[in-house]
Amino acid sequence: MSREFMRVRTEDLLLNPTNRVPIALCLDASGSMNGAPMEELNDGVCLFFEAIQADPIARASAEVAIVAFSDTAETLIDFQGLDRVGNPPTVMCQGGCTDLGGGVNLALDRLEARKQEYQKAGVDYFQPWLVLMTDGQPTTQEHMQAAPRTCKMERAGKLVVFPIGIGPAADMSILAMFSEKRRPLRLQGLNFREFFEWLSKSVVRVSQSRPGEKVNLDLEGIKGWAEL
Amino acid sequence: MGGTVMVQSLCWKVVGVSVIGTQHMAAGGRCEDGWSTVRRRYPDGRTILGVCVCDGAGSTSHGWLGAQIASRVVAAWLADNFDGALADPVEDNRWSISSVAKRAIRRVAEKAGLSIKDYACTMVALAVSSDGRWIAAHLGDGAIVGMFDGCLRLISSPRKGEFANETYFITDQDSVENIEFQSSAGFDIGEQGTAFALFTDGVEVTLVNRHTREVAPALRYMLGWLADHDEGEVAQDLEEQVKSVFQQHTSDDCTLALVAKANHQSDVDIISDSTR
Repeated sequence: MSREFMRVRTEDLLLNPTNRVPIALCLDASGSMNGAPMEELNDGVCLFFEAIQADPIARASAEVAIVAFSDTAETLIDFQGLDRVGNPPTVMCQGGCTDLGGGVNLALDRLEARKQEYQKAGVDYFQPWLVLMTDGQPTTQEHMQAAPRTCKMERAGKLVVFPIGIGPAADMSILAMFSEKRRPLRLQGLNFREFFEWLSKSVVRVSQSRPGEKVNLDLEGIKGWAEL
Repeated sequence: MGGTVMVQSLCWKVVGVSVIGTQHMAAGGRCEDGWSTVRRRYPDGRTILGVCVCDGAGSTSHGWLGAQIASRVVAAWLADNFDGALADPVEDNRWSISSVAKRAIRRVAEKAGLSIKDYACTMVALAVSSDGRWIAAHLGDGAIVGMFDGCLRLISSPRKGEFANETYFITDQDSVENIEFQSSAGFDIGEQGTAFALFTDGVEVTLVNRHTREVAPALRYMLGWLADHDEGEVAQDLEEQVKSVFQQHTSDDCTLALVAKANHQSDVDIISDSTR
């Protein structure tokens, strides 16, 4: 005689949101980036989006904000899933100044707001990342306030900071102020694509990590885009 | 009267399953979850059922073994010390549970020349008496759900840090401080439970709403099914359902243990202890 079988219906389950990986790209859009650097940067950001969207787990996990800074800082896109963004906005040179600190402060403000939204909605999230890219020196003093802010968050394990210099004029000593754990790296030439490819792989690894798992970055892979 | 006690002592059924996640399978790894159950017959005729599910830390080399060891010794400790744990201060129970798990893991670790941190795992544990009283201990991810007066209630929710990959392990130096110990004696909606479920985070993601603490209706159905059907058959069905339904929503290992009062006493096998 055949027996009855226990059958669970999917509609009787509760589906929690995927754990999020918030990533802030804080990008220099000052006049000195005009031309090839900005074109390569935009290509790199496009590649980053495509790579994340190609991975099913990372696509559901990664939330990217893009802040551009020049005379002022501006949020080009706020934290949201890449499915909703589609293609990234084009970063355009806006002016001659470099309000690097203003850009970082804006990115951190958006990050704090997003974390509160996660907490309110019961969405779990991974340690946020801040990618800071500049080709020169700040023209405002805001970095004097922004850098201690990132360092404090980094010390508390609340933020991972990637300070990246673009070209020979990038002031690495200023970038070094933003992280006590990770020294700034200078991009090899205009290897934005290599950098963003590396970044997307790192995001994929984090999005797949399990509780208790420490995700080690691909240090070997850094050689593909950074001057070491 | 003796017959009545005997019937009472036979009333709990338990089934459980640990299934390897697709991520570990793709990487050629192993299931890092483990679960155990023990039954103890007390001199007064009661049977105490102990159950423990553990999730080995993916970042460690032997988290899978830590999960097996901890689940076995904690399930046994809860069943062996049921009456004392109900009466003792919570701090004492937290200390005892942490100690018994660490001691067992340390013995194995030292033989292997490893640290107990290499065996890190979470712990979700419950012991229940035939009279419906219960004790529960929880550290890290995963959850415990109980059925009280026909209502499902989250007894213990995931305990973790701010970030998704931060949790607590039994092998942590300060694990005593992070163990949540609860019992029917201190519970606010009545002492007697009629069914329970314990699970690791791979299953928790579809059984508990992290925001509202709502419990999935599927659990009521599964616990009711266990109460009415043969343990062996339900165990087979549970494994099949975890693989075909729950694993559609996670790449993680999945462990789910169900405990229910039997509606038909003849279904219950009181002798078996098991570790998976």
